[in-house]
Amino acid sequence: MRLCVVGIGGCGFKVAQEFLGNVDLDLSIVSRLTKADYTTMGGIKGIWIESNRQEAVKQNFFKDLNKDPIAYPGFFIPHDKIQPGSPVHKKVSEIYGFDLKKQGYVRAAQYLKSIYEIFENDESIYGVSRETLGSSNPIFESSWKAISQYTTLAGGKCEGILFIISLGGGTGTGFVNPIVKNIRDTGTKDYLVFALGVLTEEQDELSGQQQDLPKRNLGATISIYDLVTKRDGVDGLIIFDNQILCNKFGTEYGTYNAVNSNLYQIMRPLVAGRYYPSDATDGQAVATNLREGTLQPPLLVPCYSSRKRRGSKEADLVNLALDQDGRYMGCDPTMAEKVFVFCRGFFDIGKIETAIREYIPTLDELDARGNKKKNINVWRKLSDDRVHEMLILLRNPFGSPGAYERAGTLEWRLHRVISSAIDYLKYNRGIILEEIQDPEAKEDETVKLTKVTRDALESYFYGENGLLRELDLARIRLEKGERGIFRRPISIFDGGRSPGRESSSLGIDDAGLTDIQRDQIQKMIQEKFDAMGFKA
Amino acid sequence: MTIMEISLASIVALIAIGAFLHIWNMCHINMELEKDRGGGEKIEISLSGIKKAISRGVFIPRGLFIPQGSVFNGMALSAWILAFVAFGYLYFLTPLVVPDYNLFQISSLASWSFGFITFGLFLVVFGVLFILATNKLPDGYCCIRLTELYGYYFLSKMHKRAIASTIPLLWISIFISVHLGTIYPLASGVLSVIAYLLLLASVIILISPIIKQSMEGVF
Repeated sequence: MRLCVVGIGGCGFKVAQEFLGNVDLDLSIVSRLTKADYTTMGGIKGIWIESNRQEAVKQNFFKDLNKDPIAYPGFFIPHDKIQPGSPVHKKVSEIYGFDLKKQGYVRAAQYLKSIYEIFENDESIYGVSRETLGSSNPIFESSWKAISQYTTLAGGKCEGILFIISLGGGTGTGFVNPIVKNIRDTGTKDYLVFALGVLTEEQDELSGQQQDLPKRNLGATISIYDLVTKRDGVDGLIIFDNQILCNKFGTEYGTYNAVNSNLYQIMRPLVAGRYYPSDATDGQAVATNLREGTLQPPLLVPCYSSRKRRGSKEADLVNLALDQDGRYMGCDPTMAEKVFVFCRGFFDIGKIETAIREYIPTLDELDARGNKKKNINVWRKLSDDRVHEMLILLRNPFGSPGAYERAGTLEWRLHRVISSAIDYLKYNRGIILEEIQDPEAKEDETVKLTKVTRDALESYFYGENGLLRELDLARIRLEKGERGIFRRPISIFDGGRSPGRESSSLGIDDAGLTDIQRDQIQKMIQEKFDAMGFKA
Repeated sequence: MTIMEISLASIVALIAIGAFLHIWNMCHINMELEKDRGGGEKIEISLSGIKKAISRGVFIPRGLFIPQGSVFNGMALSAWILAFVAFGYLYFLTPLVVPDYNLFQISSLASWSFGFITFGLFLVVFGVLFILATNKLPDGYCCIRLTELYGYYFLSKMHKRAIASTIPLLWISIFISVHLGTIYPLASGVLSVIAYLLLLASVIILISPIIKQSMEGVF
């Protein structure tokens, strides 16, 4: 299984670089003369999507795809598709107050979400766009076009995509769902798409972050919310806590270099090649396993361990990964619904499964027909024989009543993020509705929203079915230990209601359901699928 | 035995050890994978096991090949060809080491202005043909294809640079050997030893990934 790594925004740039380093010799003259292929670990391909040209030209790892479409590895600036003063640019600004040419867009999670919806839903905008630019949603469609060339969906070799984003609410997350929609629109519901999201740290003094913590927490909340409520969205959100990464690896001189390279090392068992012949798999099989038995994209908590080959047993690596020190997002592993193991080295699959079952006894549960569920999936690869390593992805390891009060659990971390986002929403209503502020912008560059947008945002954030209400419910669910913290997709330009295409497969509007009804329906569908031998 | 004869034997022995360890490594990986499959005839790490592997063509599966980059591959193959040329020039250019088999047996070629370079080109062509011949081996023997040799090992960039750096070392060894051939029948023990040491160091570097894996994985 070969992956395409798509870094989005600032965090995506730094981490994607680690993944996409050329493993060939760096002899640029020889490479140019011989037209040598760019070779990466595991044969992965990749691209960086950035919205700020000024930032993009400061680096020289990625080349500008707008200047040279066949350069590799390249970066792509989606809003270059829109010319300043063009009909689309003017119209969006007139009706909604958004400046599509603004460098770096605006560092607020609702900004890109709004832009996407405007092009999807407003006929006057997508009509003009189609006429003048040949594309109804040029920002997102051009981004997909830049990525798709590496995927099997457009003649490339990558059987899956790994998006790398920061969950801080900058440009990262706004791109993922629109791009995944393009993938799903091609009819490939089971094309593997991971999102690797880094939840920004809580201690501001550690970071060189461009936004203060409550605002970043709102951004993170919206990002996670949108990613896990989109049923046709990603196949899993691998969530890292940057606080843990920073505590472990340090932020020397205010940089994240050690964090980024370690993040790559942790993810290496997933992206590396050399599968055991018996374990060789494709993206489709992994996607099916990830989503099996769940209707919403799951949260995947990464746990990692590595040891010298000598004397390292399967159980040692499993325990090391699942213990406190191996978790890269706080959680209680025993709450996991399913476990996905990617490991490198000589391992016995049976011993890995036994060690995991000993650690997480609940994985032995039976399905509706009394069969043992296949809750542990292991994919092994060869390593360099010196070090054996194991990446364990725990699916939704939360759902314990009261766990939100215990530090180190996923419930606790999410509860804090959501609570902070709620507070920010409550106490910054004026700022949120009047303008979308960019801390780096001069006063005359601040985006002034029109009434149409303000009303839509008011409804989205504070409406009867708005985000604030949903976040309150999510917090209660966390406290009660319910799974499925976020449940109902919300759009901005639809009065805070679920987008039509997101209504449940039974034709019932999700917004009209109570939580108990929704759980009941979900359970019934699952049981039916289990009984029929289908996968949900 | 003279020092030069011992040096010749040491180079041949080193390459033979490298070849043996390479097959050993592949059999070792295959054995680990076989363990996992359960059943099936296992290849044992023994001379008879290796013999069986060679006769049946059950080395490492092709899917475990990892591309190391075309620049590196080109460099590594060039280095091997140059090592072959350096070996030929050091021991078979003059009758000093192997009196019965050397360029001077063909007097017209040895005394021709382009004799040395023709000999060198012959060695290059022979080396290339040998590499191409191994490339024709069926998939069962893919790990013996010289173009894919390093594709079954994990090489750091540092290691790749070390392998590429053997090219200038081998060129120096070749130049020294050409000088020794030019001044023949005079001889220079010091220069001969330098040419040998450069060749020896290069061969050790070229087979070092194989040795490294054997040390880490098998022993």
